[in-house]
Amino acid sequence: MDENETKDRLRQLAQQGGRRFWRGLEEMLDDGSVGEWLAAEFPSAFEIGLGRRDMLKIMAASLAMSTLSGCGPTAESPAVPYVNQPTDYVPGIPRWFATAVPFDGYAQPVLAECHAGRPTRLDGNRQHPASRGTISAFAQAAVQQLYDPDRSQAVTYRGGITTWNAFDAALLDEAHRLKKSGGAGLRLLTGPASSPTLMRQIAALRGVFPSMRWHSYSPVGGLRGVATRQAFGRPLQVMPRLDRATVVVSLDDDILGPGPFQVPAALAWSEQRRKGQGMPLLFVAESTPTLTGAMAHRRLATASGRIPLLAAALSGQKPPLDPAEAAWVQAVRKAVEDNPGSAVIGAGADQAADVQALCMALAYRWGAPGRTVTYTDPVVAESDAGLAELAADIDDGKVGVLLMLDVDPAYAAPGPLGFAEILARVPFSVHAAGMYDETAARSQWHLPLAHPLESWSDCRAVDGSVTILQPLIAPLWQGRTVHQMLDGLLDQPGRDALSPVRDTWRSQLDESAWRRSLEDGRVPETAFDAVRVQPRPLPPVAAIAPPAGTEVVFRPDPSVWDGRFANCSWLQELPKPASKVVWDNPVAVSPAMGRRLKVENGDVVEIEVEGRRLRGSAWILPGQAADTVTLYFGYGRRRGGTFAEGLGYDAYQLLPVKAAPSAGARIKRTGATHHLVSTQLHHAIDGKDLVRVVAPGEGIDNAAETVVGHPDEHSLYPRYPYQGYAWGMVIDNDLCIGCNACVIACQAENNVPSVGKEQVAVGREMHWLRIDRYYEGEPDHPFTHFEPVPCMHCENAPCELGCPVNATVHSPEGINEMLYNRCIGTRTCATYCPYKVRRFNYYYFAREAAPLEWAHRNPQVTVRARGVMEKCTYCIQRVQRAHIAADRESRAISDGSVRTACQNACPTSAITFGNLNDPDSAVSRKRAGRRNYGLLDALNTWPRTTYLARIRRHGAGEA
Amino acid sequence: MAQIFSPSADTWLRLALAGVTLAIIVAIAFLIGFVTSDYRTNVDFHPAQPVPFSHRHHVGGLGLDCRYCHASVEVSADAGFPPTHTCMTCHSQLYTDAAMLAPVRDSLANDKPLHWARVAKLPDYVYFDHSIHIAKGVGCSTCHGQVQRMPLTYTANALTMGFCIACHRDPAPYLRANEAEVFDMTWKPAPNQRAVGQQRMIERGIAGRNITDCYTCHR
Repeated sequence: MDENETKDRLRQLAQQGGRRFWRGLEEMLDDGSVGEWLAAEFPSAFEIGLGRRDMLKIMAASLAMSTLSGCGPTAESPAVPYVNQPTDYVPGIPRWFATAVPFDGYAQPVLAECHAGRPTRLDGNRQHPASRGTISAFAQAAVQQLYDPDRSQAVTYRGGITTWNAFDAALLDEAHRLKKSGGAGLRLLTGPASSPTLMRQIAALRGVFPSMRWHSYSPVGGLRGVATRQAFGRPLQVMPRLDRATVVVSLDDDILGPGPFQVPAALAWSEQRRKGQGMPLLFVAESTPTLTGAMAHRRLATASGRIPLLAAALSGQKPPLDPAEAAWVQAVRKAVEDNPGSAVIGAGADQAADVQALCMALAYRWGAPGRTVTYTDPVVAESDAGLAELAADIDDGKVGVLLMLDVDPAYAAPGPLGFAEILARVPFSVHAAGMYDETAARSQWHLPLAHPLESWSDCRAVDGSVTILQPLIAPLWQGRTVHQMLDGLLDQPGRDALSPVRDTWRSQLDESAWRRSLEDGRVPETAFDAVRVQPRPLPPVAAIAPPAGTEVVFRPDPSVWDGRFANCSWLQELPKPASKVVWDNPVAVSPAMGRRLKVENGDVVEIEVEGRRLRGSAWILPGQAADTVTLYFGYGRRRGGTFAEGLGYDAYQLLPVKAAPSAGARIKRTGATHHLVSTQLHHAIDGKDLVRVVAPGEGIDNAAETVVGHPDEHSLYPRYPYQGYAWGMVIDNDLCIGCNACVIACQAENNVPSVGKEQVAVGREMHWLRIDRYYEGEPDHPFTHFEPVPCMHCENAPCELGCPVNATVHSPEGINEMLYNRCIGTRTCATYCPYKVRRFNYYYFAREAAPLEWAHRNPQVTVRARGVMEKCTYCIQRVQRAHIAADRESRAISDGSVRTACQNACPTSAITFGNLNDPDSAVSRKRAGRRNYGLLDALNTWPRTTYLARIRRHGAGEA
Repeated sequence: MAQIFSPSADTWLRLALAGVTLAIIVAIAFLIGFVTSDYRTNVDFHPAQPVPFSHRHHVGGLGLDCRYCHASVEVSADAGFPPTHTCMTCHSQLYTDAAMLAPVRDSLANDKPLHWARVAKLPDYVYFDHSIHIAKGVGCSTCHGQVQRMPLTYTANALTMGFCIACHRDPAPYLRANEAEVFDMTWKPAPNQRAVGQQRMIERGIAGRNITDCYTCHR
């Protein structure tokens, strides 16, 4: 599609009513595939290639068989009480424990819901400032990983199953030998780590083995430490304060994107954003679309290799910039001048250290250090060296004993390092991990690692405060913690898991303080104090334009990160925010590159970087920088579980040893295609003004783009008087950053199954809550909008009219109820639903799950069988729990005491739920606001779920 | 041309039609009878238990309170089964050698829980909550029957949806005065039960609540 065509199409879209948005390039091109998705909730139903007679025969047969299937006896389940019941345990009431799930060295504080001794779900820890009760999608998935049937279940030696005793004996032998040599040749390889117990143990190891070296490796994270040394002369953690700064500039830095900083950053950003002024002003220059870019006031799509030029220009140099870049830089400079002392800037972690250092110095100069940007000691401890040094030492034969703890270097190491091959040269290699992965297969010893929810450990959160990890269940597969394994080297093999952690804290926490720390999920007074810094003079950044041609940038996958979540079906099936692709990693290319190479979505392309080649399926990503190709980690796995293996391509093959955007890459079409599955058109709503945008202080009514106003709520029937409670939800589109935490929260709370790639391809994903992504403007640099869509619980619900068996009815409190035991699966309700929020169980997904996975199901929610419809219930189990608790004491349910799962998880608190009959409830006040609008309100459905329009400052970000 | 139908054909046709109609009626009647039968609803069913526990002895004879063993009935959806430890509070002193109690002793000695067969069973899609029923004055015996007379525990009432909803539609005849009455297994409705029951509904806020909504029990 050339530029004129694009303009024509945009004009056409605009004429179709109001501000017109598009969901994907298919809709932009209008190639007919959209109509199919618009017309039906389950388009695949039309694809049955049967004649009328055959169809009737099959229908008759299935009717007969389904009748018979109802005749089976119900399973007998015995009642199994405790032998000795714990004193504070009450059968039927979940217990909550505070702990944390480490992620790239940072603690994600959680509260674990435990039913009858098994953790079923994770919530954020309200008392922890790094969570405030909210939680990321990754942290929630920990519970699915715990019960993953593919987890490593035994100690293996050279691939054969053996015992912990055999390993303890072998390690003891090695330890004896090492002691004589002072630990020469002993190497430890970990991921990023902040655990005080691990640090204490490493220090103890150094005492026994002075020549030991500790390496750490993570494919993401980059050169922050080097950069802070350059800028301030010491390693630091730099935190831009999104809650305080008025202008935030991001140079390829995905501040709001997935990762350990997402929740704290989103909390801070939303705190300022919630004031309704559309602040902070966010300027983003980036090569590949991110969540931060989607929230930007002014976003510039430019190559990663050109970020140094932008940084140099912002610092006052005059590098050669193209007009778009120059305009962006000018706009940033104007905003910074207009907001003196209140601007921050940051560069992406994979930018060169001097560029990052320059941005840190600029942030110091532009802002108010200590207020708009704070500095603390680094939370993640610095190791002796990285992976490249380890590889070199192995090559030189200097490594005798290598302990790899919770890392997977054979998979995640940069391809040119050839780590998987050289690993075989280590005489005594030990790998401890939760999965039997690529490294496990190439190490002599593989040890099953206890899951964080089975472990005693400790870890620091983003603010440096320590959370003690406590086990919620005994290790399912006799796994040991990292600390127990290091105990083995310190002459204490096979010691219990608690002792090493308790030892660390014995002098600081007496028994009562220890218990309180466990209860609160936070050890008091361990957060790092802000430090004062002095910027050092910096040499000017070499602002040389990168060589022309294609550049390749590497990003962790938004769903499976560096590959550690690859066996998590929840995350595999989570549509990636930008592409909405599931169960795959696409090669992201720009629309311009797509035109040039004549590739379409799914066409296999070959990328060549420094002589190394890789094949992957292209995905044309609106907003991608013209000459940038983005490769995502986490796929192309050869080991690591049923779901992980054989999906996508392995981006690590091309990852350079020195992390930096690779310029001078070549990309070409191969002619092959591979079907990528994206949900961007699924459940497409047919209507106008699905997302709305207003200026600060403005309401929907006087916004120019409003075509459909609030219709009078008319009906032939008398209106039902909702006495008592009237539940409703308001979703603030201005706060939604599209992080997907709510989608996973809903899935975990409501026992929603994952269905697999083939089923998603035909539109059968089961998510009760989806996030619709809309583009606005031209494909090369569009605005992006996110809109979470649960059931609208229409007061005038079309679905209820369709059901022949009254399986979907209305509650006296206004909830659109779905009754699984009545449903016979005609799917009429789904075809009547204009919002397309109903999901049908085409298969018996619940029964096909491995028995171990049943353990994390919520016992408060029915597990649905095949052939029934389901959808969002407003977390009715929570509403009923609140009702019962209140009724027991004959009092009213107080505002805020019912929180839905999605609302609880949301890091920006974009979702509000409550009683609309109470004019003072939070949800009523939001609904009364002028930004409130109902989706498809012209259809007279009277939705109980409404939205608040996004706020955009007119002229904001203009120079 | 010869007659196709004999003179009796009409009679046979009528008989056949009547027979089919009768068969359908009988089949429906049988099905209804079957699904509501004690056989199908497990009424009077005495499942085999690891220990032949007698409520008649413990409740009727010794007068133990329900909550001594079913401790969470007032605060949780589950009434709770007694942990082995609860049995052994008495049986470490009484009948310490009884062969009948060997499984209980083994359970404590080996830290292996007892597996009791459920007597009152509900389908998985029904979310019954004991605590709210107790709080509103529905007594144990209303559903569980005269447990104090059961040497082996059995299902006294067919716990069908009809049984539940009869009371949810009209709770007045079943509401008891106070805690003592709720746990009184011999409770009899008062002579003016309907009047006092309706008064109790107003006092306890049941009157204003719609408790026949589907999501009250299903979710």
